[in-house]
Amino acid sequence: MWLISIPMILWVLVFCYIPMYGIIIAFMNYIPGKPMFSSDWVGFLHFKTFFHSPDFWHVIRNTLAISGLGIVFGFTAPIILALLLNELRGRIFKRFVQTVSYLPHFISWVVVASILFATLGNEGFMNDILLRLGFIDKPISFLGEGKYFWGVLTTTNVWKDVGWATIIYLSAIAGVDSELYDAGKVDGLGRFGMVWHIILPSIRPTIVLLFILGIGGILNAGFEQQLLIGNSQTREYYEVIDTYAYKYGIQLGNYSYGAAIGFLKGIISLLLVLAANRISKKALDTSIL
Amino acid sequence: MKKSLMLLVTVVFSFTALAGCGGGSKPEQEAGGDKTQSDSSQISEKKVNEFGWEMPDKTIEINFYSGQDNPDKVNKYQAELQKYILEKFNVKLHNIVYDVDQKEKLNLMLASGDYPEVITGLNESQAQQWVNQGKAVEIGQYVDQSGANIKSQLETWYKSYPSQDGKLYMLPKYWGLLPIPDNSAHIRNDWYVAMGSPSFETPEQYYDILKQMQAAHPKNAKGEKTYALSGIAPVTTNMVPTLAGMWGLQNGYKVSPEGDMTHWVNTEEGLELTKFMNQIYRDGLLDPDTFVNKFDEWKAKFSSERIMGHIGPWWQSWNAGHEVWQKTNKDWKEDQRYVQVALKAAGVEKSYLSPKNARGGTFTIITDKAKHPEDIVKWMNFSITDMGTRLMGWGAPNQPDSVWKFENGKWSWVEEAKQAIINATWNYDKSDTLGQTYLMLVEGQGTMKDDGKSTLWFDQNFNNEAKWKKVMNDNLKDTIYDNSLGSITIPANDPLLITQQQIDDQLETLWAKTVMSKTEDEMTNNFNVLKDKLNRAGLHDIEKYRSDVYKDRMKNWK
Amino acid sequence: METTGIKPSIGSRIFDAINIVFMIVFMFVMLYPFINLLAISLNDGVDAARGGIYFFPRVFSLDSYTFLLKNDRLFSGLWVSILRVVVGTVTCVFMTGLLAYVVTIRNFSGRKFLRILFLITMYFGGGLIPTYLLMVQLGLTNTFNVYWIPGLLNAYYMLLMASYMQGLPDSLFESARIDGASELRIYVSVVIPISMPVFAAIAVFSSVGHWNSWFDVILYNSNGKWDTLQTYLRKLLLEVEALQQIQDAQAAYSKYRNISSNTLRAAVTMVVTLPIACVYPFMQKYFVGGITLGAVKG
Repeated sequence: MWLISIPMILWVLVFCYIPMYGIIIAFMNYIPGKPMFSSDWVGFLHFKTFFHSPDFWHVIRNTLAISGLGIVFGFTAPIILALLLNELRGRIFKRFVQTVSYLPHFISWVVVASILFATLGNEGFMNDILLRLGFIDKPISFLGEGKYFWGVLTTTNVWKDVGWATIIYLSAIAGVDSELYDAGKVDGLGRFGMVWHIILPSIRPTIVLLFILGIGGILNAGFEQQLLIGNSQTREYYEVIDTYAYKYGIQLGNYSYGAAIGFLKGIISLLLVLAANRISKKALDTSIL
Repeated sequence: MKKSLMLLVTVVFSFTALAGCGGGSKPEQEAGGDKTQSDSSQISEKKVNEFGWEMPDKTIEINFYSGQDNPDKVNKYQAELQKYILEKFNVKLHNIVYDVDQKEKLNLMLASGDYPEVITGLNESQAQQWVNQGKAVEIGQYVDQSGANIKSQLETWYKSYPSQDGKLYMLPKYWGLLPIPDNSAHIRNDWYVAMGSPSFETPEQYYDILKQMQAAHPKNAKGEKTYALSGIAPVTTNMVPTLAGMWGLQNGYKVSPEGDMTHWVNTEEGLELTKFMNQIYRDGLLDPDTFVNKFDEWKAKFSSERIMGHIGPWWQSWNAGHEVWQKTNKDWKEDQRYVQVALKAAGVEKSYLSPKNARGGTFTIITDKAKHPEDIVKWMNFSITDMGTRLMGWGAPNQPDSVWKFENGKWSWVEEAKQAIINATWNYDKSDTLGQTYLMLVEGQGTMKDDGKSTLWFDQNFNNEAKWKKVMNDNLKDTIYDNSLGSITIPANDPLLITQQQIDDQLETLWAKTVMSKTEDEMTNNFNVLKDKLNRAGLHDIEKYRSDVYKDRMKNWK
Repeated sequence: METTGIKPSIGSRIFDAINIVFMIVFMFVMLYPFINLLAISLNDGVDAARGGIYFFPRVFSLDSYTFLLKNDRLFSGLWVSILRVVVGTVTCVFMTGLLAYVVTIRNFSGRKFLRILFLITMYFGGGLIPTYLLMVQLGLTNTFNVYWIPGLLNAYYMLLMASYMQGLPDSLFESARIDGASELRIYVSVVIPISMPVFAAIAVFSSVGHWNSWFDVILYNSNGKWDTLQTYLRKLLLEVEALQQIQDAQAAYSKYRNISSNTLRAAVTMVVTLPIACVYPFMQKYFVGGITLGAVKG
């Protein structure tokens, strides 16, 4: 067994752990071009700067809000879609819908942003309909007002990735032993009963796993979509940890600052995932480790 | 098991085989050069070509990185000029670009040590970073030896390039005063003429005309609402400095005779220009997407005849106005276009719309990868001359598709190319295939010294003959100013950069909110909030830094 | 789920009808951007700048496509892309699947250690510069290998696959072990066949990931020899981004004029997306209908 593992361990050491020496620049004032170890040590200075930055609180608030909405909607939508797809009767129709549902995943955010502008802009499709139906008398600036941003972003994220995320649930449903269905039939389970008593329990490990990883990923609230859909007027609602670290770290040549934020994020994520796993082990007897 | 393993093995083999094949293909051989030339190189005396360039025995190779661009396009466009210079000068220039963010690529180059012998297109603080790391070559000695033209062309500016210790590492690109405008107000020409061309001078009068114009054209052909003005985000960078110029500020700063710089939000004029924009907003005539539009979205609106005016670079209303219409509308007439106009607020002495940086905003360095920096300086010493600049800006002469001729030491335009520019029928794809401006290192863009009028930009040479260019230049000639002292960048790794970023971020957000205030009182309130927030974030530190540098330059540069 | 043979109740029929209507609306929402991009890509380039194209082209033109198909580098890019997807996906799925199997075996002592070792890599990285330097030092830059070796194992896929394999009855492996089969053999002949649904799902993830990635291409293989199809799309999109860096008004004018039209960008999006979108239907057969473990057990 170890024989098989050793090459894999070597691989992970080389490609993942060796570059991790880069983390130490979080404690230095690194300037690209100088040898990394000759830079000045500054201890926790960059961490302190981040905590005291005027943007700190709204960056944290936005990250948690967008991720939280992502877990509530982005996490449940694919499960529901997978179950609904599974209930479709026509084989060809089912396959067709599945294929179509994952297409938006291929559209780059640049294109998504321009489509959003045409749909949700002040003169977009949505305002046009609402105006005609008389629900509003002045266009709503969906993209230009901060209070709509989280909703717009969450909807777009769900739209883009719901079909994509469904794939793994479909594969889990396909893995359900057909003997279980037969047993269900014998017990006289209806359609809904089959879903509730057979399919859901069978795919529970996958659901739990993705939920735990979702908790661990709570600080990853997106990056490209924020930069492309967000604008100066929604900045106070779109700036999340990753966009902030990019702007103030890499863009300003401040690699150490970016690294410090990244390191902090990694630690918190790992702790969160371990905690979520522990709870899941106790409450649901499912562990990912 | 066997099946899967076989598949794996096959795949691995096929790619190794492929990798092997790939190495075989070599870049295309250069086409055979001019035979007579290589024959005559036998003579021991150095051969001098028709440009007065002493042919080197060994080809001088200059590979230079110039920033982010599409490598496929750049390779295609530089090919012809590259070949010409290799044949006639025995110098091989190669412009390298990557489709990676320039800042990131430069940092990777610094970290990995993998960079070419010359880097161009750097701003001053980026160039300084390379100097600080000891990766830029000190070139003062080479310029002293063989850079007489460099010194004479750059004139008094030459002494502004060395660093504090008097050593020279960088030379400018695009230096010189180009006496053509950059920014202006714009107005839809045919509709303005239809109104009887009423005269106007102040922004308020201009807006009044736009307002009447909008009332006459409240909807476009598709029935969409029209507006007096729009904008391209970020508006505080794309529009406000020009607007502030109408109130007598220079590039967004009020500059006192002593050299003190005050940011526009801390001035009365700043409040005035905000009031001006707020009025348009409250009249419902400011495009509600003004602070959201990207260029493409703005262009879509603008080209659909929905915006009466514009404030920004001159070419934007060309690109998004008649350049679209003349190709999509069969009945297009040449007066259906925007004209560029100057505005000056009441009581203001002079309007400053186009800041010119004669010293050059981007720089070129020679790196420690260069084996013979002296040869590179020699080439720069030629290419910086007026004739060298022509070659770089206009492409190779005397070729079947050239735009200029060079015979017996005299140059002249190719008449068809000249007429095409004047009649606005020039096909700009051709400019690119000629390699215009693709191989530049240290060439200036100002008026050339030998004839006092021609310039690097091929299409800007006939502005007096080209009707609409002339209208623009006549309208705007008093709004161009020398901003060489005022174009100041904050050095890399300076903590002020973070302050600057925070201010830029907040400024755009808060100013948008201020402009979109529902009443004048609310606007004044919001403006004061904006001012307080920015000053608390450190705007005064930025002002102080800029004032200090400005005063320093006043002493040392003039 | 397949029909159960029992006559469906009225409630069940109503549900079916609603479900179908929902799916049709849903499909429209999902397909709309493609319809829109198709319409734009079939429009004249200058005219399209005026916006307002939704379902049908306004001024029909095939120029963008003819321009694209004239470019023979597009085909070499397609070939590199296919090669990358095939090599990258096969190696990644095979190796990560093996890793997932190893960390699933109950009596293997290093199981937890390996899981944690890989889990950590999901949250910590060295950043752009150390990773770039590593690739340079390993001699992977400007080679095809940089496409598949660094992506050989993936912690996220490992967890997904392991979660599936944990649901399999132990007895399956035990009987094979008693027969004296090596673990590698069990993996290939027992684990893979019964885990096809999850292997297929990960294969879709991995192949799409390989097809779509572009940053590693322009970063590590900047000499252009191993350009993938996706990089052509990116080059066009990044052109627009690069514009923002230009300060000089004259230079900006010539750059903006030179930029690829949005019709060309739309056409490239279509050309780049369609081939990979076709992978899914082929993998789909592994999702439809359950696996009968009994048959394997038998």
